[in-house]
Amino acid sequence: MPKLSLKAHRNINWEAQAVAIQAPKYRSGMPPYLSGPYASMYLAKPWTIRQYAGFSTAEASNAFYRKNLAAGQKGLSVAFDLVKQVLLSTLLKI
Amino acid sequence: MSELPLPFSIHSIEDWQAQLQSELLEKSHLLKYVNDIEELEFSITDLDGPQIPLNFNSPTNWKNLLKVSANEEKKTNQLLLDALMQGAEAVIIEHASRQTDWKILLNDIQTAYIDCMIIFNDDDSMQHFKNNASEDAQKHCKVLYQYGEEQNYFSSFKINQVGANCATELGSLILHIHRVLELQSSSESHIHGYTFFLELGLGAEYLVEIAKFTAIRKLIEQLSIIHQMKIEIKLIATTGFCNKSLHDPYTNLLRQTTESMSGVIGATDYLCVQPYDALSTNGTSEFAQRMALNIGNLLQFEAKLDQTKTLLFGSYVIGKLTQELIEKSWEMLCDLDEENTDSIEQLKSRIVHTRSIRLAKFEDKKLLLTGINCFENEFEIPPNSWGNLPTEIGLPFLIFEKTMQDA
Repeated sequence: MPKLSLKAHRNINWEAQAVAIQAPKYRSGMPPYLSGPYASMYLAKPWTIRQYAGFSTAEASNAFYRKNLAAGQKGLSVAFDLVKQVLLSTLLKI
Repeated sequence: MSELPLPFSIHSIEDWQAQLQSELLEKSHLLKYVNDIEELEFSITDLDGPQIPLNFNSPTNWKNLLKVSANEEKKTNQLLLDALMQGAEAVIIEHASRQTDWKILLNDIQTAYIDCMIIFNDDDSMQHFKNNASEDAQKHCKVLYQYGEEQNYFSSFKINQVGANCATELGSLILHIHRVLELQSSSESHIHGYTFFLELGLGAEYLVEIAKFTAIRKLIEQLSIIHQMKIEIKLIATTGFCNKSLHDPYTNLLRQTTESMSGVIGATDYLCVQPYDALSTNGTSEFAQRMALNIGNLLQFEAKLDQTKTLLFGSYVIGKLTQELIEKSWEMLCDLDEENTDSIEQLKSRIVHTRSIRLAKFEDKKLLLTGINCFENEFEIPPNSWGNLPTEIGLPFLIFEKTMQDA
């Protein structure tokens, strides 16, 4: 079986096959902020994952927050009076 | 967006880099992409450097593929019929043997209207198919040889599943193809017109996986130049089991979706989402089977990813990752080809190395898997456990949840 040695092809200049890519004109953290308001954006600090909560009693809401934090939630969006906000207070006559 | 005539001065890349440094301060190490499993390291802000062009102008038009075994013909036939009714557009039949009853297996399967591929591992099973399958099946099924000088099907899926990194997976795949091309170039018969079907595993690292699919096309292009042969390739992206959970099954759906997306964005020709519980003691469930098929359906019909074009245009990180993977896997190919040593042993030692890094990271919780080693689902009772795992080059498939189960 004839063996085709790859010795001659070891140092392929892949860079030569590459092309210069034009970087975007406007960058993150620079006016007009088309790529976001901060240069680093989510690099060091990712977005937080939240569930808006506060529909229930203080105890039930507290249990809900604890469960979500244990499951990986990174922030709390606490609404103290959601019952009133969604007009449930009128319907329930609280 | 950059073409908008906005009255803002354009900042130099140096200004932007300085701004990044000032925002990140002691965290400026984050400006370097470092991946010790893949052994990759590069600056993520060197945007003006040359890059491998990612010019996929055609839509990412893949087919949803179902992989089945030729064993248990009647059951497999029903599975195929059900899957074809539920959106599968292509099937691949493996483990074909001299005992396979092709009439039962392909009963009512309209091979003329679907993409039906059969993998053969020896002449006997191939001959058996020719003698026993219907005329229609013989006419329309694509025959994939996984042996000999006519080999046209290559798979690195198992290498991927035992813990190899992307460069090793690519390196082993192109080494195998290079050796078959050597055989084929010396052969007088050119039967298959060099259309190769390449199956690659889909791992969890979204960006690196996309780059793996873009890299393989470039590597094959280079091999075709060296061997002076025209090679067309069809890529098959197959999801694996390494990061799947039987305890928290719903997380698998999310994982399989992102993994599938990396294959689709990398422009695979076939997408094979395997049921996450295929290797469990009880076998796969109907739920897992339906979800596996529906992921591909959803990406096509609802997300419409099959109608998008140039998804990767201008992506610096994918371009850079592609280039790094090409260089590393080509170097590995040349090393293994030149050294005349046992390439399997060399390959194994590379895989054992990355496998041990993966395991150490998982144990130290530097590799976090939701539902497995963090944020566990305490409310579900595990319905199933991992069974005996397949092996490749003497190593069992790496499944993190099973390592916990065994501990």
